[in-house]
Amino acid sequence: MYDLEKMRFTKTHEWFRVEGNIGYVGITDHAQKEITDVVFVELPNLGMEFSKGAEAAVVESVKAAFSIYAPVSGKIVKANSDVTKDPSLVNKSPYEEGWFYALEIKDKSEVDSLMTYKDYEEFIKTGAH
Amino acid sequence: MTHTEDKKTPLYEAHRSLNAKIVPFHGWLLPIQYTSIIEEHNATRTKAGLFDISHLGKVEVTGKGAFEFLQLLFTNDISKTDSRKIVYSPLCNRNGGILDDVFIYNLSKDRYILIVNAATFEKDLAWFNSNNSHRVDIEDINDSYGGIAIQGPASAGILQNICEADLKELKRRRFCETKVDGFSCLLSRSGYTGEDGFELFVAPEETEKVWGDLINIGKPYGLLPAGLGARDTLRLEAGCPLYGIDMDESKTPLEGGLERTVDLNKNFIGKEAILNRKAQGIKEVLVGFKMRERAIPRTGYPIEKANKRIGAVTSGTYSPTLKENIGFGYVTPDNSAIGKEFDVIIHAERKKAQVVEVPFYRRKR
Repeated sequence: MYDLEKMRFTKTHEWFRVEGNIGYVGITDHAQKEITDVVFVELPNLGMEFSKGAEAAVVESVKAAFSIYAPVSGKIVKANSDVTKDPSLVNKSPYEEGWFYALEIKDKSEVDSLMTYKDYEEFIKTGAH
Repeated sequence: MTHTEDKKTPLYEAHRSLNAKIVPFHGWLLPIQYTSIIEEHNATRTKAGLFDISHLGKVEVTGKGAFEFLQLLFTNDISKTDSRKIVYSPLCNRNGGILDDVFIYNLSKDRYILIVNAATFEKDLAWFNSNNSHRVDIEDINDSYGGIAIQGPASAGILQNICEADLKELKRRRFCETKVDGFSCLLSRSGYTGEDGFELFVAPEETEKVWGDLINIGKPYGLLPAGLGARDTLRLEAGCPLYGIDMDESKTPLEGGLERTVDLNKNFIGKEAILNRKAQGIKEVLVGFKMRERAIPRTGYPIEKANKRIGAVTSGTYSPTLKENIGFGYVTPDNSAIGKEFDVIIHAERKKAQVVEVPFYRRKR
């Protein structure tokens, strides 16, 4: 089971779940509702490196394409092939089966700069997108 | 564009109570989806979908010169409207540029209703008024009707429960004046989805009742309310171009593949320009294409052939029915034949696409 309280969030609606020195990335329930039915997911290759805020994946819904940014800097160590085969997992299970990739965290202090769930809820409520 | 308060359709509260996701759309607040675009799309293809079409612009044209007025303004032959046939026609300016595409209903002698796009309603009205040499009455009747479309193979079976007219007698693209739920109704066998279906217009205060009854009666048939998202994927699969996206004033009906809706045997505004362009030869043409590599084309993406730009995508989507990625775009005529291949530039990558026959989807009859 995922625990939102232990996860971190970005203003671009990614969630970030830390396991040791690895962090898993997906999009929030709020984001999947906004995006509508996801029909295509393009993931980064293993070994690719991204700096915090760089576009690391693309999610396409029926309506439009959306960039998924790296919440922190790091190297891709896992990519979820289930979600490329069945993109609807992003809608059905945004916090579990619908994860995109995991990266090896380069700088732990970047994680601390991300929002807590409480911050994120507040962020959504204030109407920011 | 001036910012005014977005209008609510007579079904606004009904959408809210169905937990729809509501978005502003050309001055109206409309549902983009209720639960899922794909579910709503599939329900419409296999059972039935119910759409709020109250936002469509409605104009009534009456008076002695109404027929002549419409013949002059529209490219298609308005005499085809007799026997209660709905005529689809581009509306062109003097340069032949498409101002709008319109459905024309002939209610009685000298009386017509025009169904126009919500986005172009004000522009159309101004155009009608500034070209009213036949001194007809041009009336904005937007507030006189709410609109509902019921689309899909089960739609006749559902609607018949509350419709006075025998729907077996109502042919495709024809309309009748009948009663639905006991209310006076303008009913046509038409739509924007490629399925059998109906569009009906009733008084605004009666619209919610009709909507609610169709939802309830339709439930055992598998009917779902469907939003703008499904409307867009359905119309694309059905090969229906969308005004403002797939055509605009920079295109004539020739580029838009709408030549069959242009009657060159009559006089109309824009005819000379269209004849000239026809003589010179067009430089671009709207085609339907399928992606041959996995990627979704979107509005504005460049189309290239041998590294040279030959056009751009106007509409594109993942097709829930075909489970392929499809699109419309303008390309040079030498690249427009069915089977021709080109590249669409998607996220800075070159992805292969091929011109195919439109509609992409054709229902089984």
